[in-house]
Amino acid sequence: MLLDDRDLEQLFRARASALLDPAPELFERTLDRIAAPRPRANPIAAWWRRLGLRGELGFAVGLVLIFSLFVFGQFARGPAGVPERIEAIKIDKMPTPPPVPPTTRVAQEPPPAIHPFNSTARSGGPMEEPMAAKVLPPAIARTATIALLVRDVPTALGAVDGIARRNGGLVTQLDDSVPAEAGEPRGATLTLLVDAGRLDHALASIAALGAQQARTTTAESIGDSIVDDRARLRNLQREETDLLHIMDRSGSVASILDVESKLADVRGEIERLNGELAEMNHRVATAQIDVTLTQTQVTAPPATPTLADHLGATWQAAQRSSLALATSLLDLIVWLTALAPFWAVAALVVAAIVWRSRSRF
Amino acid sequence: MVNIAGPDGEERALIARIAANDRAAFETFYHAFVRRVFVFVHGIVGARDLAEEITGDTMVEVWRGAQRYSGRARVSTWVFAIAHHRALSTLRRKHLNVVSLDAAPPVGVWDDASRGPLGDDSAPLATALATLSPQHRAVLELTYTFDCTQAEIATIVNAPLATVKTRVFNAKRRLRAALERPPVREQG
Repeated sequence: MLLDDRDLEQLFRARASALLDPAPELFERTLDRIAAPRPRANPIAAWWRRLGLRGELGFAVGLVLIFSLFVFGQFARGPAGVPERIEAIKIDKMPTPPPVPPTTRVAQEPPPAIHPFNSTARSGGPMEEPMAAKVLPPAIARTATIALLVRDVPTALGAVDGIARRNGGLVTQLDDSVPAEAGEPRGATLTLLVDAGRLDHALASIAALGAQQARTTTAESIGDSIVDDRARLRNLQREETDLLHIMDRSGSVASILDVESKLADVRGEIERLNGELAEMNHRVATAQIDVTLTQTQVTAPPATPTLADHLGATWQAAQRSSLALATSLLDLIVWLTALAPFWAVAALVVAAIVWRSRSRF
Repeated sequence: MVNIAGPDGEERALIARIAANDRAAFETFYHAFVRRVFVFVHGIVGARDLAEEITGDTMVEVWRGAQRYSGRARVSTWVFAIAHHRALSTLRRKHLNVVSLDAAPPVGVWDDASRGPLGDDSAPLATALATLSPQHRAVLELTYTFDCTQAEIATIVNAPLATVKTRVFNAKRRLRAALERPPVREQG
């Protein structure tokens, strides 16, 4: 017998019709169960069920936002504060002075211990007897430059002057410029000399006055130049002595005048070399530091700012804020773009939650 | 043919009142749906006591879940979906007749105590249904007893439409095979 759909439908109808109703007590039992307190469910599961679709979406979106903000805050740059703007410190190391072969230099005199601020140059005088050969210590002329951001330039200038004095030196040059327009940073440059052996200590003290922007240290070996000048000085001193002997023996006036002329030239050259040697010795004994100070705080406005000045300052501040905001927003967009894989995963999670929570009814 | 969907507007109104903890509305709803649900569930589980238990579970679930009913489907579809889920989960929990759709299930808890005066005529159907899986029995009940469309069946059993079509096809094929199979002679 082949059964078609109509036959099957009749069978099912007949079966349904023949089925007795459920027991009348079922309703009472159902009411009892409704009235009975429900067993305590898992609080977390119960909370999650109470969230509903919107709650689940909000929870997922909140998690993603918190995660994104955390990553953004960890890696994004902070505001353009002074400490974060410190560039890498670049210090040119002082080159190791070349070893002086013990036999290549003959020291006829030890390096004069000239105080940098009491140096006197002396020309003439008897030639000193050559001494035994000695190894000259390296003659290194050190200089340094440092640029700082400071809160107040006048205060920093006073501090630098104090540092110079404490390190056996003084300020030799100062240029303090007060900007004419309000809002422009104030700056100053100064040059100071300190004892060569206290250069590093002085630099460290100056660097502590503000935020260091740049710092360099250079060293120049001038020992060869000193030795050459000394040798030339000795030669000129011998020549001077010889000319004096010649002048003592000269008879004619013309000869004497000629010798005197040459003697004047020689003495002039001796004076020049003495000065040059003194200057080089001074450079070895002292170290020069060029300091550039820039004030971070905006110069105070003129005593009587006009309305135009105020509006101008406000406009500039607003422009800076707008630029900072635009930069921050662009940074955020870049970071969100870079975090796109995470957003994709989060979107899939949210979509899965939405799909799962979607009720058919 | 049992009309699965009465006037849906009235049923929705009942659900709304049930969601407001209206006991009277729940009683009205109960009496309107209890037989339909019972017949459907009995067609799945095949045992009266178990069918009553599951019917009661379904009604309790309707009471507790009335607030979650969003109205996207008909009330009857929603109620039958609850009943279907309850029936299968109860069978699974009691380890009754849990077989794959591809295997021939053993005879489960099918009993003959549900039959009324026409019980003898429905015995072959009951015997044949006992050889099917609960999922197959469910789709056959919905198809032939309640005249549901396959789209409605897909919503009730929470399966894709293509799956429902395949399931209905296989269920019919197996049912016909079971009904057309000669009865096994008892060894005397």
